[in-house]
Amino acid sequence: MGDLKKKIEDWMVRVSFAEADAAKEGYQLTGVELDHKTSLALDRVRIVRDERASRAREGESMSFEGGGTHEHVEEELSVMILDDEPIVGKRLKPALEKSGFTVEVFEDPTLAVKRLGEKEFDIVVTDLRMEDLDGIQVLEHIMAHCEHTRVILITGYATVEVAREALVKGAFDFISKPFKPKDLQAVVNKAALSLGHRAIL
Amino acid sequence: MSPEEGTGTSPLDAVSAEAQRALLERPSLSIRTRLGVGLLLWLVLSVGAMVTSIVLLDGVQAKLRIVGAVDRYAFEIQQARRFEKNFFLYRTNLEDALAQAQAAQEILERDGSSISAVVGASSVEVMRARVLRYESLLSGLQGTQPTADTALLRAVEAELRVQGAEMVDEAARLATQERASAETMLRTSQRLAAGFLVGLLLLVLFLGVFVARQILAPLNRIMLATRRIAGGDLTPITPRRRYHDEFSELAAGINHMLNELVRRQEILVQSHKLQAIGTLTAGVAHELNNPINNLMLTAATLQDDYGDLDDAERLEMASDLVRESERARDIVRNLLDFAREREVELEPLDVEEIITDTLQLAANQIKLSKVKVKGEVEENLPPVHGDRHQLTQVFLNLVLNALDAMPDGGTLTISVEKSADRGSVSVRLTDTGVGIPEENLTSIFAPFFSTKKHAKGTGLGLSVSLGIIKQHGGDIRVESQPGVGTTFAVCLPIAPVPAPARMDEVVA
Repeated sequence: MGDLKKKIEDWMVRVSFAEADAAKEGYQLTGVELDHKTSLALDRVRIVRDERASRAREGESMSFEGGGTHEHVEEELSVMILDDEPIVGKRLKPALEKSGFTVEVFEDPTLAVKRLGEKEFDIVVTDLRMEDLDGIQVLEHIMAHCEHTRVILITGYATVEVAREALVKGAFDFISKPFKPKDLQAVVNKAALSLGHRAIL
Repeated sequence: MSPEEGTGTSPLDAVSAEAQRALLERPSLSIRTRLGVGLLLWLVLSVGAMVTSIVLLDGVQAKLRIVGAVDRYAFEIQQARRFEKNFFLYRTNLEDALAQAQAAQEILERDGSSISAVVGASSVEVMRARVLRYESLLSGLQGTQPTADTALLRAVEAELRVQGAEMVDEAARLATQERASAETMLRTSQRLAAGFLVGLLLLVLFLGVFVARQILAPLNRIMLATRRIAGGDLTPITPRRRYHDEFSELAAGINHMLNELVRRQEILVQSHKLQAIGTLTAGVAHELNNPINNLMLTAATLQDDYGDLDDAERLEMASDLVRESERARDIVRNLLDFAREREVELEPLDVEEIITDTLQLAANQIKLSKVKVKGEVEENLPPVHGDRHQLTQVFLNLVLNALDAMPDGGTLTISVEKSADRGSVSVRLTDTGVGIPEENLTSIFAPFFSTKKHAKGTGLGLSVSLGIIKQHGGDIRVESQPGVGTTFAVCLPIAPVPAPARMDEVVA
């Protein structure tokens, strides 16, 4: 009997989180699967506003007006970060600004919704679970008022139910905690690309 | 057994070990022995009485036989003397007199041995000598002519008369004496029967009292103990008599069972606690995500942009890392503290503090379920007596139940006040939840009763909570209105009322 038993000296080695993490370095679960390379590339590109996309959004004519385009190429996209954890905004703001976004950070969802009425953001990153108003409510508000804004949800756990609800209600993607600034950069860049803006390496 | 022994760290264990020892260490005097001794006494008494009366009756029979013989002997002698008198008067009947004398002698020869056994051989010898002498005198007269010497005849006549009278007297005396002794013996056997009857009555009385005192009283006591146990008091049975008998074995058996019950209760409490920990863990995991996310964001930024950051920024990030680590530790610490297994420790406790601890433990759940918690605490509340962690477990269970009853949020109002009789502190937890239908109100405290679907509840919570509170000498009551809400009221006795005091009752 004894000979048939498999000996495991240190079982914990098999379940080491460090190794598992090292194996999928740079990979983050998101609702829309990104392959490894895309994810690596996306967190490094710089996105700029594309005039055509902007015009399309503003309902202007699609016609090119000569050299006028280039004056607007460097115009930055606006991103709102809404999370009741101050550190999230504190860390993500510089990271996204480095990628060329204009970033506004909010901790109070009520204030954030008020600001959404004043300004149309290109991308909104919001936490799902907050006091007073939760992420789904913010998402519904945005879907009702700003049809071009891409919403990325931050969730505690990417459960199937949460993912389905978020995607059905019109969220662009979601990212689950804990994540690295790079991971969010990748998702935000993907959202910007989906709006038709251009990537510059 | 002093009551102080019950206040140790693990009171029930010490008390039960002590009770078990005391129960079995007393000198052994089993009911079987005592009943056996009683029955043996009865047997000895009966056999004694029977044998004595048989012996006495035997004696009486012998006496009567002797009396009969003596009577016959006296009769023969008297006949002989009558014929002897006739001879002297009419010179007739000498042969008859002699025959009667010989018959008397025969009687003496035949029954002499039994008579001598009663009156002694010497007196029988004397009688025999007299009969022989009488006979020889009578036979001496045989052949004497009627004209014989009257002087000689007279001398013989005188002696015959003397001997005859003596013999009749002796026989009469003997008969009277034996009759009297027979009567005495009959009286004695009568008295013996009466005495035996009295003895029998006393013995029956004693056995009746014995059965009542030695068998029914302990049975009654054990019955009371089982009633007490059914009420939730699991303190062991202690000895009350000087001797150890079959009931001591029964009491020891019950104590053993109580020990098992206590152990099972502990296991139930523990398994319910694990269930509560399971619920709390989900909340903790949610809550833990925030500091972990902050740590990851900060650490990754520090790693990626280290060169681009100035010293002040790096320092700020490092202190963020420390603060968020502390936050994560605090989130887990309460749960770990609650989860740790520990001995039951009774002490005076501030109810408000326990409620606060409980709410802290359930903070994540409360936040998740969007429930507002309001409170109302009376000033200068006296401390209650109990185990901090067990009471926390009870309140946690009630709070978690309240949250389950309000899936869409609501208000939980906790009021703490002295009860009307001032003997206890009552904690009322009122939710604005779905309420409990009236038909379920009686069964919610039963073990394994649950209305939660999909194996979300084990149905142990309220049963274990009630068990804990009962052990603290308190009670839980419930009022509910479907659709409006439910109130659970927990009553806890003030000061050192519970376990040690109850142990006093048991010892007394």
